[in-house]
Amino acid sequence: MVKGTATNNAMPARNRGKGQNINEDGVLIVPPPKSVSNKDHMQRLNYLFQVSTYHTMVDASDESHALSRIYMRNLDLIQKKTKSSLTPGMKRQICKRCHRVQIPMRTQDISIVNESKEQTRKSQVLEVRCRCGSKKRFPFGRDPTYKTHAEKSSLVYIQK
Amino acid sequence: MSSLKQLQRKSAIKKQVYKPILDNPYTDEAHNWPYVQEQSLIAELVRSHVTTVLQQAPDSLDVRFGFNDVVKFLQGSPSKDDLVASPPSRVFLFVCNRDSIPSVLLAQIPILARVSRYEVVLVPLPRGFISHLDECCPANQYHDGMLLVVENSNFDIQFASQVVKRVGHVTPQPWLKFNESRIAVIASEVSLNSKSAKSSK
Repeated sequence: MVKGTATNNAMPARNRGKGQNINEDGVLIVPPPKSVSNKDHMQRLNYLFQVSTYHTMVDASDESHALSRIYMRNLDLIQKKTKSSLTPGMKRQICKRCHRVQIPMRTQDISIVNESKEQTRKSQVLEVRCRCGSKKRFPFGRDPTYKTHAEKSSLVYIQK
Repeated sequence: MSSLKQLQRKSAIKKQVYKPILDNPYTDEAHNWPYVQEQSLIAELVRSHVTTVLQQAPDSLDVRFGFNDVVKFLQGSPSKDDLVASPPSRVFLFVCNRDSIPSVLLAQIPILARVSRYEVVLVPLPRGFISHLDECCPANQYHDGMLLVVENSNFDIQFASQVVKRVGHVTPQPWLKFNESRIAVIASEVSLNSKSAKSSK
């Protein structure tokens, strides 16, 4: 059973005899690693994402974004095959249906819609429409303070 | 004397583990939003030259409040009259990105500022400035922490030059330059006792 921890680092930890740090919730605190195992897969995914964005931005006349979509589909397949994780901020930039990179004025339209009769702030939804017709809806009005797990717990970047 | 709970905590139940995760190469906070020198001075200038002016005379400046109006304006092109009379006008986009604005709203704003046909000066405002926007925003509108001001004849040129001088430079087209992969680790917990984990399932 895996559970996210946002505040574990901030909790006071006790030093045990053998140099073990156990916090108040009985969690053994471990220092972050200096390197990761599947670094080459990550670098490959990063390259594919950038090359896909480059082709979307440079070929402004290309409506189908065929080359860009092929690269992004490769990224999606490799990510699933290698079980690599992407941050929600990165995933949200990829259309699940056509694999276009989501860039305003090029491949997406963004607007806040409110379909409630009273037009209350709670019912505000951010709607991201891709060129292919698919929509991503983010009901941020329900909880404006909502943060993803990656945003809540500060990421520890691996130094090069 | 120790309680039962304290006795239980003596041995670790869970272990902290780190999982690798790949971050977006273009949403680096340090490079996406421009760095503002003398933030307090900029905030004071914006308050005196924009928000106070709008409070007293709402029609004196050409402004757009809220996400939808700002995005619609930036996605549009400068009118033909503007292009004939003068080069595409410059716009100032003031964003309260340090206040409690949903991150999903702010994520596309720096990219939109770069791809827009207008010359956009993106100015991130310090924490707490959102209260000044509340005061000058019309009652029937939401500002979503964003205020766009078009530089026209009514706009103070001295103020514009002061702001531009203090707002740092950002990479105009980051997709033309290869960025190193931003690999990070994210902390999670895993149960140490395999028997309890199985029984809980």
